[in-house]
This record gives sequence, C-alpha cells and structure tokens, in this order.
Amino acid sequence: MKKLFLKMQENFLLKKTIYINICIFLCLYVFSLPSFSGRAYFQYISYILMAIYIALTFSYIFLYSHFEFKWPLLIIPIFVLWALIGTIIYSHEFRSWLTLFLLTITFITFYYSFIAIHNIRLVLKLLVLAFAIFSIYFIIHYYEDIFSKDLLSGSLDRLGDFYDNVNTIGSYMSFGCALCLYFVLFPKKKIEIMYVVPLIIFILIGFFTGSRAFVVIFLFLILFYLFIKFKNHKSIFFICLAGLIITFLILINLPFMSTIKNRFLVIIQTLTESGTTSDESFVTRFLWQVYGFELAAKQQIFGFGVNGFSIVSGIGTYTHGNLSEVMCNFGVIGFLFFYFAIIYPIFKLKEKNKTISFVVYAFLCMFILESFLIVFYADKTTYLIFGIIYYIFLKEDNCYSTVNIEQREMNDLYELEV
Amino acid sequence: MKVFNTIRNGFDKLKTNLLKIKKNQKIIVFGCACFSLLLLIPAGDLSSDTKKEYYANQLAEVVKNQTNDGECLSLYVESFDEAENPLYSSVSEFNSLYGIFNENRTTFAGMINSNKSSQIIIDDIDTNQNLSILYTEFNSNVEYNNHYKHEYYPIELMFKGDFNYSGAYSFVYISQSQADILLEKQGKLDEHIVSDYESLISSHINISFNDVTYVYSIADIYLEENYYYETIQNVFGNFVISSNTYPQGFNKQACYFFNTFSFQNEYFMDYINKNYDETNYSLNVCEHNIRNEFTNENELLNFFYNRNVNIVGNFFSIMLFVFSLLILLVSIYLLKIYGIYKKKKNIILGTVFLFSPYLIFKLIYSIFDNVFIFPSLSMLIYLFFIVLFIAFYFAFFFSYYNTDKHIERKL
Repeated sequence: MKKLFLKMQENFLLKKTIYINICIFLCLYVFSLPSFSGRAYFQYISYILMAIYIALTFSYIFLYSHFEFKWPLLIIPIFVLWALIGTIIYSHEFRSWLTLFLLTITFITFYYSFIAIHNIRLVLKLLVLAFAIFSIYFIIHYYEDIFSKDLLSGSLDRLGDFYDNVNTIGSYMSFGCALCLYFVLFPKKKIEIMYVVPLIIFILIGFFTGSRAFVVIFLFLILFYLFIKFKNHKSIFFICLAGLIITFLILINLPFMSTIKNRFLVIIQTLTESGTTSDESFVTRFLWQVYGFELAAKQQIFGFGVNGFSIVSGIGTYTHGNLSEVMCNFGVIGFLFFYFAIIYPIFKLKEKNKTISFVVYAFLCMFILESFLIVFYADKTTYLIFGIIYYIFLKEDNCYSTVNIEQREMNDLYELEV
Repeated sequence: MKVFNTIRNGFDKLKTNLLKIKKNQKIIVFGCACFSLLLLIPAGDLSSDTKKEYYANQLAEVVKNQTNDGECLSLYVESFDEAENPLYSSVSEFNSLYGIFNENRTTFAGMINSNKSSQIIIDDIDTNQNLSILYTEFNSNVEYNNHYKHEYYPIELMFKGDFNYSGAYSFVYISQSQADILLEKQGKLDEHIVSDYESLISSHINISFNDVTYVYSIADIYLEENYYYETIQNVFGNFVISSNTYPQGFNKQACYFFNTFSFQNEYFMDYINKNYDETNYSLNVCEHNIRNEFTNENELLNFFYNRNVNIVGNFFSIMLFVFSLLILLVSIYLLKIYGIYKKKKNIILGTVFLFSPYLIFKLIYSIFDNVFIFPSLSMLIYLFFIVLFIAFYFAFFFSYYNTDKHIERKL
C-alpha cells in the first residue's frame, strides 16, 4: 500500500492528469450551478460533478501536498454551526440547514482546489469559461424568445425561469461580469481584452432576466473598476462616466429593455409618490425587510434558524434582503459571524495594491449592495466567492502547494549556502 | 475658537480623571453599556408605537382565541354619508393590499351586509341563509386553468360571464351550491354537468333586500374553492357576487382582514388610520366569525377612535433613546481609553453584560406576557445598539492585534 502510494506520488503523469481534471471539473461544476442546480432531477448532475470535484481536489492535496488549516477558514463553519442552534430550537428546517452545511463543504473544497491549481488568474478564467458555456446554453434554449418580434416590440417577458429563479440567474451574471470586467480593465496580456465578448453576453443575459438587482450591481461594478483604474486620471474617469451614462440612457431606451425600464420607472413613481401606479413588489420587499428586523429583535441571540423568517412571519418566503434575513434567522451572533467572514479578509488583505486584490474589493461591493437587494447567505455563488476571497487573502502565508514547497526548499538551500 | 478650546480642555480633563480610575474599569464600561440597553425599555414604553403594538397584539390574540377558524378577523369601514365621503374603489383597495405579506392571504374585500345586520335572501332558493354581497366593479373575467377567474378578486368562475342584464336590476354571480339548488328546483336531479350550469346564465332570480324584492340576472357561477373563497365564506358566511349597484338603505363596507401576526395587523391599522378619519367613517368588527359572545369590541377599535398621539410621551421616549445612545457611546469611548479590548477573556464578560438586559426582560415577558415589558421598538434599537457596540469592540480588538506594537510587546 505504501509502495503504491509512493509510486503515485512520484508519477508526474498522474499528477498532471489530476491537475487537469480538477480544472475541468471546476469548470463543469460551476457551469452546472446555473444550468442544473435549480431544476428538479437535474440537480443530481450538479451533485455528481461536485462529488468528483471534491474527490479529485482532496486526492491531489493528499498525494502531492499537505493540509494546513488556517483559523479564518473556521469562521464560516462556525456560522453554520450557530445556525444549527436556532434551527433546532425554532424553525426545524433541517433540510435547508443541510444545504448550508454542504455549501460550507463546497467552500472548503473551492479553497483547496484553488490551492491545488495555484494560479488565481487561471481559476478566474475557468469560471468565466463556465459562465460562457452556460450563456450559450441559455441562448440556445431561449433562441426563439430572444430573436422573436417581441424583442423589438419590447414585450419580451423575463427570461431564465427555466433554469432557476430569474433573479438568481441575474446574480450569476453579475458575478460573471465582475470577473470579465477585471480581465478587460486589468489585462496581463493584450489578448485578455477579448473578455469584452463574454462580458457583453453576460450583460445582455442579465438584462433579459429583468433583474433590477443585476442592473444596480453591474452599474456599481463598472463605476468601481473605472474608479480604481483611473483614480489618478480624474479627467479620464469623468469622461468614462459621461460615456457610461450616455450608453446607459441609449441602452435603456431600446425596445428589448422596456421590461426593466418600466420596472425602474415604477420604482421612481413609488418613491416620489407620483403617477398612478406603485410598484407592489418594491413596497412589499421593503416591508418584509422591516418585518425581518422586527422579528430579529424578538429573538436576538439564536434567531429563528434557517428559513425562520419564512415560517415565523407567516409570509412563506424570505425577506429579500440579506441583512434582515441573516439577522432574523441567526440572531446578532450569527449575523456578526457571517459579516465578519466577509469583512475580515478585506482588512487582512496584504497585497492591497496588487490588481488581484481589486477582485476581492469588487466582491465586497457586490456583497454590500446585495445585502439590501437579495438573500445570498445560502447562495452557491456566495461560497464560490468566499473560496476566491479566502484563497487570495490567505495565499501569501500558504505553503502547501507543491510549487510552494519546492520554492521553500530552494530558498532554504540558498540560505544554507549563504 | 475659544469655545472650541474650552470644550477640548474640558474633554482632556475628563479623560485624565477617567484614566485615574484603575479599579473596576471593566465593570464601568460594560455596566454603562448594560445601563444604556436597560434604558431602552422605559424609552419604548413611553412611545405611541408601543401602544399601537399593544392594540395589534390584542387583535392577534382575538383572532387566535375567539374566531371560529383561528385565522382571520375582519374590521369594516363604513361611510356615514356615502355621497359626500365615498369609500375608495374596491379595485384600487384590493390591488394596493394584494399579496402585501403573503399572496395566499386575503387582505381586502368590498362587501355589502358583511355583518348580516340586514336580510338579503335569494327567494328562489328555499333557504334561510342571510347573504352578504361581495361587490365588484364592471370587469372582464380572465381565462384560468381551463375555466375563468374574476378580473381582480381571486375568485374562480365557471364561465366568461354575461353582463347583459336587460330587464333585471343588476347582475349576480351565485355559488355552485346555490346553482345546484336552482337546478334541482328545475327538476334536474341527476349529477349536474357544465351545460346544466350554463343554462342558468342570463336567467333571472329574485333577491329580497329587507323584504323588498329585486330581479337579478345570473351572470356567472363561482367555484367554492381556493383561499379567497374560503376566507370570505369563513368570515362572512354565505355570499353572492354582484355589482356595486345596490338598493337604498344599504352601505358599502370596506373590509380589512386581520390575522395572528401582530406586525401585519399594525400595517393594516396604519392603513385604515391613514385613509379614513373617525368623523366621516365608522369602524366595526364583523362578528360572524367570532366564536362566543364578544365583549371587548371597543378595546379592539381603540386604535381608530383614540388615535390622538401622546406628544409628551413621545418626546420623553425620544429623549431617553438619545440619552441611551449617548451612554452607549461613552461606554465605547471608555472601552477605547481603558483598553478593555486588549484582553481576550473580556469578550465573555462583555457578552454577558450586553445580553443580560435582554434575557431579564425576555424572562419577565414570558411570565407576564405584556408588550410593555418587551416593546418591539426598544428591542429593535437594542439590536442595532448591540451590533454597534460589538462592531466597535472587534474593530479595536483587531486593530490592536494587527499593529506592530503588539507584536513587539509580545517579543
């Protein structure tokens, strides 16, 4: 057994094969998230891909590296354990808690697989590729809707409910946009500017979903990246900003954007109390968030457990805002654990000026905005983002990839020689 | 500038004096935070919002304990003079409240004779059932799952509907059971099929309003299923659907539905108070769904008839909230200057102090079950204060443990 183990360790071809397979299955698994995980029966495809991906990742780490556990990785598991207390006492939604538990395992797997791949730009490119394949799948499925007369007449319905909730698809697309914008604005090679192609596709699909959260997050991401890119050239920044506003105004007046445009107009009418219509969805979501906080105030320590708001409020759904949902479901302590998991890496990020850190900041912006727009604590994308953030923030100290071990050995030898 | 310097000097002196205290620093800091949180309870009690919460809780209790279905209680608004102060259109009312908390929960119905105080009877159906009328404006029914649905009330219908009621006073939608009785009277005793029901459309029936008979034309037949039908049936009893043309002496009633969730009740209370004043409109309880004899009607309607805001109470409430915030800020400041956050073991002590007021009041509340011991407003502010304190604590904690000074000291 020991011999076989040693043989496997020395087999370079096997190592390469597992490495390539990790990359392939990372891409396939991420592709399966928007494509299959929200559909009955199809979600098993996602589970199988996840199982293979976990097996490959941990066998690679086991054979060619060694585990080194950093305490920040415990924040999310502690949050999930805390969630269990409220769930046991109040909501009894153990199935939903299990999802949260599995997501934590996914997060740990993502983290270690990124260590195995040991090239964050490659990881991000694989993720873009996964979303690009999903985009093609989306376009093929909705081909007739997208290229129908409805598109030009502006009466196109919100697309994407074949796969999952339309807003969830919107959030996948905003994640894809965050990655593409990074490659377009901070390319290492000129060819990376070509990421503008998937970016445009993601934007269009995001608009087709009719998700307001997508539009808000996407605009904020563009502003954020432009600000970072041109922070020392304010005039260029303002020219870009003006260009962006003009483009947005032109785009929003195109016929296929009429659904989303009308949704925004109704919000403005609701807020200003002008016009005859009011956006019921906007009003109720706001009310639900207030209600979420009120209920959280009644159960401050443990909260009501996973899906607690849905059960205790009598509404039967979530609050549509992560802040109030997490506060209501997991109490003050659960809330602090969850947001600590987001904020802590930002403060501890050592390579603050390296371009890769901008991705972390962009994700932080996304999380802050999404806190008021959607519930993301049990979202698969969130744990993928956590994986990226924790890999970037912990990677300076990590010495468990083979490349690092070799480098460390070389350094030690060099020091001995000196 | 002088004023600024004086304040700064005073502040420095205060800081020097505070720093002289060496003993019991932890108790002072966490005690201040605890006192600040304790103050929130009387602050909340004085506020009008707590009174409103009390009324909402009372309504929830009545729904839970005194209604037949344990789910719904309807309060209805009636105008004293409909010509001068008409009610809002039932369509707009229904739409503005539809699905506000849950799409499958009834929130509004425009009714006539909701409390069964008058006699409305279908003469052709030999029953003693006193009917209520769910009134609608002219509408166009929509296709739904191989049958039809009312344009705005989620009532399911058999047919598209025939609104040509020439020769009749108005149109009416009857229930499937009422239609069955009519068909049986016509001699169709076998199981009825769609064509049987269809034969009733456009036929005339007599409906008497306090013994005065009017001819109505059957426009449609509604199905006795779905949540909306069940709520209307439970809360008002038997009913028909008709137009908003009705005989004199009857009034339109805007019925709002209260349930066991007090926050939702508060919303409807605010909605009623915002849209109707007590001088032109009356508010009543629809007692059809009430189980036993109902004694506390006046108490339930207090939110409408005694709506004057306690300005003095609110003023002192705000003052106490501000005072409480100031004490909390002082405790955060002391936390910083005393460096309490530097010792990890203080986290446990702090947690005990911060949550103890909550636990004490929760315990008392569970015994006495009184909203004034545990007002929502106070608890909500408590929630934000506690997050504020803990966030500052950890911000100091991590900034300290990240500095080189700490590492040097350790070395």
